[in-house]
This record gives sequence, structure tokens and C-alpha cells, in this order.
Amino acid sequence: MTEKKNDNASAGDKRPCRRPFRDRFCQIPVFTVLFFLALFVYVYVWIEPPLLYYSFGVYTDYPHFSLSWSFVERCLAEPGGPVRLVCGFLSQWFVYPFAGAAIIAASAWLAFAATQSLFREVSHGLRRVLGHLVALTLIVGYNQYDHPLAVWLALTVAIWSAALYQRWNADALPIRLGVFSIGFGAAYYLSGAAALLFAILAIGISLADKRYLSALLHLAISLSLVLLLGYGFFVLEIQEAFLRLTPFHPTIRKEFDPPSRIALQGICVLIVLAFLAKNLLRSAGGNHFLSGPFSSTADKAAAGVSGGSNRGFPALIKGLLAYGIPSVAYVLLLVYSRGANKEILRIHALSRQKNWPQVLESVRTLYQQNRYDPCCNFDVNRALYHTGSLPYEMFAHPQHPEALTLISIDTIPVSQRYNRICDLYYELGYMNEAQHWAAELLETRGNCPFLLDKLARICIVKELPEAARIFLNALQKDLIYRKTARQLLDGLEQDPKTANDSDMASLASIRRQDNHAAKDISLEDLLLELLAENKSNRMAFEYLMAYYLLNRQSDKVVAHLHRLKGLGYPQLPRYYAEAAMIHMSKTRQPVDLGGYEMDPRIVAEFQQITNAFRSLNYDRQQGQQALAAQFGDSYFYYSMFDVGIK
Amino acid sequence: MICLRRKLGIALLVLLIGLGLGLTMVSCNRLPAPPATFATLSRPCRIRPDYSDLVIPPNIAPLNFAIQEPGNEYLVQIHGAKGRPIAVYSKNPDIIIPMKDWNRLLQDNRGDSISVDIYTADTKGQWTRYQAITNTIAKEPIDSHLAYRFLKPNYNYFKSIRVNQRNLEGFQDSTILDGRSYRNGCVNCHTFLNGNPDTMAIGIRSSDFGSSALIADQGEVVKIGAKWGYTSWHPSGKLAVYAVMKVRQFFHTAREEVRDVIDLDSGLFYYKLDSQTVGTDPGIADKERLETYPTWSPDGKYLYFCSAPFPWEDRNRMPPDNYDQLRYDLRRISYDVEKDAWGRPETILSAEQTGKSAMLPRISPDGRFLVFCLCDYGCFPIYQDSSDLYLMDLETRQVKKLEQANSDASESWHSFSSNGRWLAFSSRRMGGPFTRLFFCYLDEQGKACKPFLLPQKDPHFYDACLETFSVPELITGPVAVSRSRLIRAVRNARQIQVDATTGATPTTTTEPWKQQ
Repeated sequence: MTEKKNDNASAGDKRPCRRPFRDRFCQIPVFTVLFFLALFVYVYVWIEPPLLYYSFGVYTDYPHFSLSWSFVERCLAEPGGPVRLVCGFLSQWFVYPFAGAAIIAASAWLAFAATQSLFREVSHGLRRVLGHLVALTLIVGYNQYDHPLAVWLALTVAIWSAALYQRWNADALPIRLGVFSIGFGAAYYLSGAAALLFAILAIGISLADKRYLSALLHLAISLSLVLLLGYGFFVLEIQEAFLRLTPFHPTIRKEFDPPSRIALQGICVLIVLAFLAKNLLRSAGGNHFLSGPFSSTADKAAAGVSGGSNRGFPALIKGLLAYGIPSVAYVLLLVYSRGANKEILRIHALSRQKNWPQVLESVRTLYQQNRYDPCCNFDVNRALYHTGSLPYEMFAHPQHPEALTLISIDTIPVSQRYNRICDLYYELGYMNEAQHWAAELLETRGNCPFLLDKLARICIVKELPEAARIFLNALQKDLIYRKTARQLLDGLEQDPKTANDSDMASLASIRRQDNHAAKDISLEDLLLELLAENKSNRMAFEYLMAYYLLNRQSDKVVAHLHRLKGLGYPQLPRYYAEAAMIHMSKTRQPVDLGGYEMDPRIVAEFQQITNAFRSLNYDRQQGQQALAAQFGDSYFYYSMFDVGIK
Repeated sequence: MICLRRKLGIALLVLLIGLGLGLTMVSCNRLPAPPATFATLSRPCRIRPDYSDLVIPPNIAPLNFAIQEPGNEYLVQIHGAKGRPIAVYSKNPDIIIPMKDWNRLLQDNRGDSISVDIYTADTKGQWTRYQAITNTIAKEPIDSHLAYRFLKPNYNYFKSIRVNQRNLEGFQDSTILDGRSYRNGCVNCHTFLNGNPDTMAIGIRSSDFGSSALIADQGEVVKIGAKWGYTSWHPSGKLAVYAVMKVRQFFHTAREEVRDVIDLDSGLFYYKLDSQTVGTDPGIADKERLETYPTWSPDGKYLYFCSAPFPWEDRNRMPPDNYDQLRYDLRRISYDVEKDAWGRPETILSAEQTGKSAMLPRISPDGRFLVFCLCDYGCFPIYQDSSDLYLMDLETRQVKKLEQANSDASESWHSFSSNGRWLAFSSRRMGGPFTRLFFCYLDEQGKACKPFLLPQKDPHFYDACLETFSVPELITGPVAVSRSRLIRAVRNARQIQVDATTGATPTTTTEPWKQQ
């Protein structure tokens, strides 16, 4: 009823008709409320906004935000900057699932409301479906674990601008053009080139009214303003001036997965086409067509159709058409647009939080999906090391020898690879190399808080408290990390060497101290260098042994068993013992186990697997399949068969 | 009626906010008189940045600072023998000095000194006065502007490198050229003709728009299709000498500064503006030596530069053998600008004498002093903690260390003011990889006074500043050419194609970022 009354008002008397609150309350579209509620729940439960938060700066561009005036000034000094600023602010809250889901749902609703306003003359049902489709586009993007919020908000500004401009319908051309110029200029500043959507819709309004001169002038003004503001005033390149913050920008191709990109581009095209169609039909007197099968009871009532006609079978069909089919379509759209990265991002997020047991738990889901990811392999190995199970459970997980450090796998995007490499160097005590890569990432990815945090910690371990304070002061301007920064700053006041942090204290004890020019050396040589400098560098030792195991160099594993006692191992770890057994079997010579006893169960297992393999006539293919269930997690099995990921 | 009420309400709210702000400003910033009773401490107050016992220019922006003493209220009185004192009262330890009052006080006491009395009050309202801080105001002003490079401590990759200019008489800071404007390119080696902002050369590196040099002269910009390294304008403005280096970066495993830079090969070339041609001479581009950091004597008769024999055989190996044995001499070579004729190079300070590497020679505008860096080895002093500033009296060839200006950390990238009394330089003394800009006064005997940090409006500016400031160049006014003009020149495909280098020394073949 509301829409119809307003439609009447716009057609004739433009004064809004005020109705009692109770009436308006009764007109709240229940289906739409349910739709956005479901959308919120879906984002909260399925998408899990914290996974997005932890992917910022690693899997997606970081949406920067800082509580510093200089940052705000920088944002406000370029077209589209205000939208980026808002996006940056909102994105920080994704760390909290409820807030993140609410922000995504609210953003979708804003675009929905803009669409409703833009298509206010169209029947309620059709308009609603269009609005829902628009809203779902954002969810399609988040289903891929992209972060299209900035583009989305920019498009929303453009649609709202068009809707407001449409409502304000001056007859005099100069006034109309003046208002358009101001509106478009403001929209361009706020949302970048996404404002061109507003311009296209404004041209559509003129075309529908057969005001061709007006349409031409709107086109000329919008192009001139883009050139004047973007190219002239803000000194952007032409391409940037015309594409910034639109789904057609070349960086979107790299940044977003195809479904997100196509959905965003498609929705722009759909809105334009629907708007042109609506206006053309309206000008051709085809309003009846627009109130087709999706028209609501409210539309009908407003049109003077009796409620009785909705009873019985036709009403059921109409209900099905209006609610059932769209609902099914929405569900199908959501289900089929779901990306495959969720578990990978979960493992990444858990690693970032150093929740190592959960990393090992979550990776099972990935295995159930029969998927392998080298970054997850890397994270799992770190988790195994931190839970003390690398020499015991490593081969219970799919292993790629290069995934131990990721250094040589150059097919992985730089930010995903080097964030992890930086963490590895840090934990190995090679602070200069960690600093090198953290600084490279800081320059290329911007002031991501986790990088500032890392650099501050590196400086603390390197006994550079003044430099650490600078990073921490910058980190204090982050909404989420400010508490961590404060704690470390307070810690630095009390103890400039470790900031009262036990992790940093232990890293300081293994920090690399021997200075020389770094050369391109193999991982093995690097780990040996670290061990030569500091025999108690347990991680360097376990990674060296893992490297030998992964490369099936049991002789080298045996050669380093003498280090075990010094590192305080209570017993000979399983895989080292298995490697020793294999070595003994190969050389038929006794092995110095570094003062440890060989576990009889290992000997028994060795006999079992060799006997079983012998019984299969040493057929590798058959052996690999037949022995996987019983021995799949052993080094014996890994060593015998070609099972590593390639 | 409702609308009228709403409007009235808004007007009232605005009025109240305005009143509140006004009252806050009045109550926070000024208190005409110091407290009647106070205890006295016989030590100076700790302030940050350290702006005590300085010689400062009479035209410098207010030296705002933060008091690092406990207190609930703070009062600072700045006064000299002449002029109206300044009183700043604050509830927080940040002392923001009013610009106009400061300027007036400095001008009134030019050649004299000013005292800074600092009072703090505890929770009970008991005031304490610290020993006064005294700063001397020099008679000679510093050049009004400073052009500098503003970037993060970068390694191989770069995205946001800027050359900015700062008005030293205030806090206005603007960008001359930003690498982000041309797809994250690099901007470096900005050089001015005799400190004049109207004539500038600036180096560009870009994977999309190529490596080039921009010459901005009286608002016009031309793009030269050659990569210029460290550059020095001949005082006549007829030519500019620049270094071409095969510069490479490598890393250290454990020292505080991770990065190190070495020129695998280098030589000097010169560009003649009238003929738009490039030339060189064996004296400045010897195949058996590395030459870099050119600088002209103010009379234009000599080119000073750094030169070293190769300590390595393999000119492609990284890092090269004996890189830590690379030590540069200071040399000069005569030049006749009318005849375009070079003399023979002569060594004025050898590495053998100093046991160190001499870098970055810069000569005072009166031609008397040569200030340079000495570091343990290499060609990039900013990465060497051992780098300190030294001064050579060109009349006597006596060399002395500028003790007051130096610190335990690296000092480098110095620049003279047009009157020769002020030296701007980069220093790492504030910690880690963050280079900051300092100024010091050089008296007529070449004695340096205690340096002071480039002042900022916010006393905490440097506390969270992740960028480094380097290559400060003092200039006599703001750069005349607009940023947009420079950006368009970079993006423009049109450029002056200069002759290929003569081949005296191999030129750089591969850009560092292309190797990545």
C-alpha cells in the first residue's frame, strides 16, 4: 500500500501521505525481513566473517583503516576514497562473527533498499525479486571469500544517487542539469567511477521521457566531469578515472574469482537494462505489464482488485510464483556459488591465531574433500612442530617436499607464500630474513596490522626497542590490534629485551647472531648454518630432519641423531627410528642411535611391512594400495612408495 | 512549526559546541602568568624531541615538543631578552607553540638566545619548575624549503615512494612527485641548480613508463630518455653530471641493518642541455675504477666525486668478493665549461689515508668547506652504522669529524643551505631503519653545533611514522612546477632520446625490480 500511495503521489500530488504507525508496521514485507534474516544467518554460520578478516592482506587486498588523521586525509584526497575509508572501517569488524554478518547483511540491504527506491513504480513483487537478486550478488562474492565491499558500497552510492535524482524531477532543463552535475560530482568523489552507473541511469530517465537533448547533455556532463575531476584534478590515468571502484576495473580480474566478478558486472548490467525497460514500458503505457505475476496483494489492493480473487488454486499458484520459486532460486544460487576455499581459509585463520590443535583438526575436512593445498601443508607442518608431533605424525598428512618452506613453489601468490615464509624465518630465529620479507609485504600490501605486529616483534627480538615502539605506536591505531600493541608497549617499558613475552624471550635465545652477507643457499645448508650457530634451535633441527625424511635421505637422518640428547628428546622419535631402521636395512651396518634404544614396536612394524610387501612380490602399485590402510602414516610406507604430492 | 523548532535546536547546538570549543582553547592553550609558588628542580626537563642547547634558525617553525615528566598540568614559558614571551598551558604534556608568537619572538631575538621555562603540576596542584632550556637563535636564516625523499624502509619491492617538499618556516608539506601516480614507480635523486627550486632534475624508474630523468625548468618539464643516478648541476646550469651505476642490493644475516648496497660498476656522465647530448671522459668513467657521487665546486671549475678501484674480479657476482674492502677516494677533476674540456683527476683524500670509504661530497656555497661521509666500506653510507660526517677545509685540506653532528648511528645525505651556515642531513639515531632529518649550524670555522630534528606540528609525529626521510635538499622556495605536470611528463611517451653512453663504463643492464 505504501508504495502504491507513493506512486500515486509522484504521479500527481507530490506531497507524501502520512499514515498511522500501526498501518505502516503492518506493511512491513515479511518475506523481505525473512530474506535478510536468513541472509544474516547464512553469513554468520556458513561464510564465517572471521575467516575473511584473517584472509585480508594474504588472500585478498587488505581494506586499510587507521585511527590516524593522516590516514583519513589520504583517503579523502582521492575519488572513491570516502567509500574505501568506510569499507576499511567496516571490514575491521569482520573479526567478530556477529558484527561481520550484520555488516554484510546491512550492506546487502542498503543496495536492496536503493533498488526498491529506484524501481518504485514497478510492482512490489517484481521489484522485490530484483532487489533480492541485487542483495544476493554480494553474498555470491562472499561465497567465494572475495571481499567486494568497497565496490559494493560504491555501487550502492550510485544506485541511491540515481534513485534520489529520479525522485527529484525538475522540469526545467538547466536546473536538472545543474542538480545532476552537483550530484554526479559528489557521487564521483564518494564512490569513484562507480558513479557512472548513476550517470547511465540518469540518461535512462531522460531517454524514457524522450528528452534526447537532456540525455545527450547528461552524457556530456558525466564524461566531462570524470575527465575534469579524475584526470584533471586528481591526476588519475584515464583508465583509472573511468574504472576506479567499478567491477570492470582490471585489478578486479586479479583480485576476485570469476563468479564474484561476473556477478558484480552482471548486476550492473541487469540494473541498467531493467531500469531502461521499466522507463520505456512506462512511457509506452505498459504499467500493467510491470505488475505481472509477481505483484503482491498490496499492489492488487491498491489497484482495486478484490481480495477474493486471491483465494483458492490461483492464489496458491501466485504464492508459489511470488515466494516459492524465488526462495528455491535463491537457495540454489547460494549453494552453487559456494567457493572451495573455506577450509583453506579456516586453516590459515587458525594458524594466524596459533591454534595448532585446531589446525590439525580442521585439515581433516580438507582431506575428506580429497583436496590438497601446499599452504595448508605448510601450516600443518608448523602445527605439528608446535604440538611436538612433527617427528611422529608428519606422514599422517599428505606431504610435498617443497611445502616444508614454500620457498621454491612460485605458483603460490606472493602474499600467501611470503607471509608464511616470514613466520617460518621468525620462528627459526633468522630475524633478518623475517624482517626482510615482512618489510617487503608491508610495502606492497600496505600497513596490515599483522605485519606491523610481526615487525615489532622482530625488532624486540633484535633488541631494537626504539624501532619496535614505532611499529607498535602505528599498530595502536588499528581498531583490533590496539590492545596487543598496548600490551607490548607496556611490556617494553618493563623489559626492553623481551617485552615480558616468553615466546620472544625464547626466540632471542636462538636468534641468529653470526653476521655475513646472505647468499643463495639450499634449505639444508641454511638449517645446518642455524644449527651450527645454536645447537638448541629445536625447530631448525626438526625441519632439517623433516627435510631429509621428505627427500628420503635416511643416511642424513641417521647422521644427525647425535643431536637428539642435547635437545632433550625423551625417546627416539618414531620417524627417526624408522629412518634408522631403513638405513640399517640398506647398509646392513649398525647405527649409532645417539644413546637411544630402538623401540621394538618399530622393529616389528618394519618386519610386518617388509613381509607384506614381499608377499605382494614387491609390486609397488599393488603394495601402495594394499598397505596404505595399515602403514600409510609411517615413514616406512613413504620411503617405499611414491606417495609424496608432486 | 516543527521545522522551525528543529532549526532553532540545531542553531543552539552549534552555538554551544562553538562556545565549548572556544572555552577549551582558551583554557588549554594560554595562561598569562606562571604559578606564584613552585618548587625548583636543578635539572632540565626531559622533552621529546630533544630541543635543548641548540642553535636554531630565526625562521624555523615552532619546535613543538612533549614533556616527558609526570604531571597533571603543564606550563611552558618561552622568553628572550626582547619581545613578548610566549606562555603555553596544557592539561596534557604536548606543547604546541603558537606560530605567530614564535616567529615574532625568534625575529626579535635574532643573534641572541631564548629560554624555555617548564613547569609541571602534580595532582595536588603543586608546581615544579625545571632548569631552563636555552637555545641560541642564529643570525642567518635557513632556506625556506626542504625537498626530501619519503618512503618506507624498502628492500626489493616498492609501491609508494615520494619526493616531498616541506616549508621549514611552517608545517606545510606537499608532494612534488609520487611514484603511485605512475603505477608504483620509483622517484629518486632530486637535484636543484644552486638550491633554486625553479630548476630541478629528478630520476624516474618505472616498469611501465621506463627509466628517465625529468628536468623541470621555470615550470616547463622535459623527459630525458636515460636513467640518471646521483646528479649534480653545473652552477652555470648548462649541464648536469650524473652517475650511472650497476647498483645491486644484498642482505646481511644478523647485523642490525639487514640491507646493503653495492655498485658492481659505475661511471659518471654529463648531459648538455643546449645540445641535448650525453658525454663522458676517461677521468670520470675509468674502466678500471668505480666513480660515483658527483658534485660541482661553486665556481664550476672542478667536479668532485668518489672513486675506487675494483676489489673484485667478477663484475656480476653477488655479493661480490671482498665487498667489504671497497673503499672510495675523494677526487676532483677540472672542467672548462666553455671549451667542454676535462683535466686530469687528482685524489684529494685517499682511502689509504683514512682506512675508510669517502662518500657524498658536498661543498659549501662559498667554496670553503667540503662535507662528506666516511664509513667502513661500500658506497651506500645510510646502511652503514659507521657512517659519520666529516668536514674538509678546502683551503688547508684539513679534515675533521663533525663531532657534534654525529651519533653512533649512520649520518649521511647532507645538504648546505644557500648561505652555507646550515647543514641538513639524514640520521638513524632515533632507532632502527627509520631515517630522520636533522639540521645543524656550521659556524665560520666549520664547527658544527648540536643538530635538531625536523620539527613537526604534532610532537608525537615520529613516534608512529613508518616512513623514512632521506636525501634532504635545502631550497630557497617551493618547487615551481606542479605535481600534475611532472606526472603527465612521466606518463608521456615523448622524451628526448639521448646518445648512448660512450662505453667507457658498462651501463646498468637490468633493473633490480625486473630481476624479481
